[in-house]
Amino acid sequence: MKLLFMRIINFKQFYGEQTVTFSAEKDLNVTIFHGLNGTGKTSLFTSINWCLYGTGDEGTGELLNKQAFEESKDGSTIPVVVTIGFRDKGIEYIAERVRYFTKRDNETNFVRNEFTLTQLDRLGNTKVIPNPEGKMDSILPKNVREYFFFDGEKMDDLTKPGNSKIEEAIKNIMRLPIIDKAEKHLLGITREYRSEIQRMGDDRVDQLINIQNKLEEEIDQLKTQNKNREQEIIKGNRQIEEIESLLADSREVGDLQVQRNSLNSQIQRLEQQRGNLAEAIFKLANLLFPIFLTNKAAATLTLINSKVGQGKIPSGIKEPFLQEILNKGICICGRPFEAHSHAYDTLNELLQQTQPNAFEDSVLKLRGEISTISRLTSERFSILSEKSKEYNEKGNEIEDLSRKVDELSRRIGNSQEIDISALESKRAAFVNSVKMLYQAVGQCEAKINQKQDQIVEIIREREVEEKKQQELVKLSMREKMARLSTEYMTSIRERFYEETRKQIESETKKVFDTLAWKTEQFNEIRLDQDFHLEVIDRWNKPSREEMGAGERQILSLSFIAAMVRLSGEEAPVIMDTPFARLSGNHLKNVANKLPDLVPQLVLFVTDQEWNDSSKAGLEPRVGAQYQLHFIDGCTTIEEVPFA
Amino acid sequence: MNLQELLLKYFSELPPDIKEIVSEVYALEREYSDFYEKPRNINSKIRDIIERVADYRIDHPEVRS
Repeated sequence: MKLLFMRIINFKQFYGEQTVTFSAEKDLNVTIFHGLNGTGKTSLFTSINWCLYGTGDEGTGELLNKQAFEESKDGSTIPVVVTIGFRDKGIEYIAERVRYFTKRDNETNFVRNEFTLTQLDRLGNTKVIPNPEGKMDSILPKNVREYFFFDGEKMDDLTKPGNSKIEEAIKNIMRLPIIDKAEKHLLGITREYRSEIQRMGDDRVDQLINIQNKLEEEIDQLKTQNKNREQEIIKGNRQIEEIESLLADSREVGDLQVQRNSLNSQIQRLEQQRGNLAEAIFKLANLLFPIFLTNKAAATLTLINSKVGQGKIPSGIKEPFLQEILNKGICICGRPFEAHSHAYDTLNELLQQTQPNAFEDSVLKLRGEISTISRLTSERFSILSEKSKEYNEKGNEIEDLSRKVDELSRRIGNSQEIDISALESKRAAFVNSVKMLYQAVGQCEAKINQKQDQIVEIIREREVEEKKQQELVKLSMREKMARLSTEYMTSIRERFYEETRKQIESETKKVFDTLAWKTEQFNEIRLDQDFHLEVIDRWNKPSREEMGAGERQILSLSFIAAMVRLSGEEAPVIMDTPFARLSGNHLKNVANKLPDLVPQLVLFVTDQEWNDSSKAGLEPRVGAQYQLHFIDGCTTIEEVPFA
Repeated sequence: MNLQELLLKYFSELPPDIKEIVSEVYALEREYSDFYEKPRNINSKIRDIIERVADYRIDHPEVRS
């Protein structure tokens, strides 16, 4: 279905007759209605729903335009008309809904409603559809319409946790209840035929049918049991996945804790070493007090050396010197002398005359000590410098490691202490329980097969027995056809439900990835056997409840776009205030991609929604746009010409 | 292939007699779903479909399904 044009007469604030043409070209499939708040966008949106389905006007006030009412004479009949031209599967239709009012004593009185649907062929011939509501429902069912015509601001309701709208939407759009009903009716008719055969047949036939019924009942029970087990298996496997993810997280946290402990040990060791260094530095510093005397000591040493150089110190011949010459028996000029010789006696006499000079000795001793202290001080200072450098290096290392510890602590964060072994046991328990469930399913299937074989035997015997009774032949064949049709319908239902589920899952995720921007955040979109939708995040955890309204709107849009593609319904998507909850990349992506995802797009936008982002994406696809002007209590629709 | 086409493909894979019944019953159910509030008389219409196919099979045993 694609909308082609619309005419409204005296509908709410739209006074008189006004028309619009919808753009339905493949490349220009967007029609935009611009309007400030209060100019009538929602009324125009309502008029589409009202025309096609007679709904949407509830609680929205008077339908008849007030000016039209004012201008009409008392007693006159005033029609409110909405006409919509559309094309469906190559056939053009015109739907028209009219509500008549009369004016009496300045009051409006409802007279009647009319709805007509007219089919037009290419030659201009028309055919009025006898059951217009039914036909409209067959084109786009009423219960499906709400997934295509919607208020953008309430759109996230569709995927809000806790409601069953997704399940309903899938069933309605894919028309799954039709298969369910067909299966149910075929089964009922099979049983009717069987009862008729029992009534008409002999005792053996009756007995065989009773056995068959009983076996079928038992098979149904076994199938129900297996269905429940399969649900349990799915739940069990999910529990296992969650535990595994928790275990992986715990192991990661565990690894981080090990790293943090190792770093803390290194820090402790370094602090110990730094403490030792500090102690050594303190001791060295204490020994370095002469450093403060360095200048004075140097001056003193220079003075002493100068005195020694001048021969002033020592002032006389030193006793040890004379004693040494006497002992060696060699004069300072190199001549040897004998004991008790003249030279010997002279030296001995001088030796007797020498006086010890304590001051000079002390000065000379001081000169030696000053030299030693200077050398030691210099050496200690150099060691102190090295130790200080080492001390600082240890400090830097400690600082680096402390930073790493802080980072690890941040990553470990508030992770709860998890008992890994308890989790492992829980996981093992689930794995075993799932295995046992599989075993039970297998055993149950074996029983079902056994019973089905018995049924085949019974049917064979029944056919033989029923052929013996001529009046049963036709009935028997009818029952067989009904039974086989039921069985095939059941098999089709099971396959179709499963395929529907898988395809919606995959298509919704595909569209979601093109519209959302935090795609790496969401790993998977999952639909369970009952079509409950769940979004699985990167940590393999359900996250639908954590999604914001904007993200839910993107999810809803993705779901609808997926349904449009998969259902084969060529329905227009009509959105009132489509972008109110969207911003940034979401808005940009939706504006860019949505025209490609749906066959036709009709948008009712405010000036705020029509910004650079939405305009850039949509404008190339816009085939028609209108501005709503609200003047003197009425709205006029004006076509916006293309630049 | 959309899902409605897939469903038709499933129907087309059925044995001829069954395909006739199942497709017609599905079309009937769809018509009732679109046009009627209640499935009044639908069972008798389904029976008509089944009986037509079943009786034809009996009356024309030479035609293999």
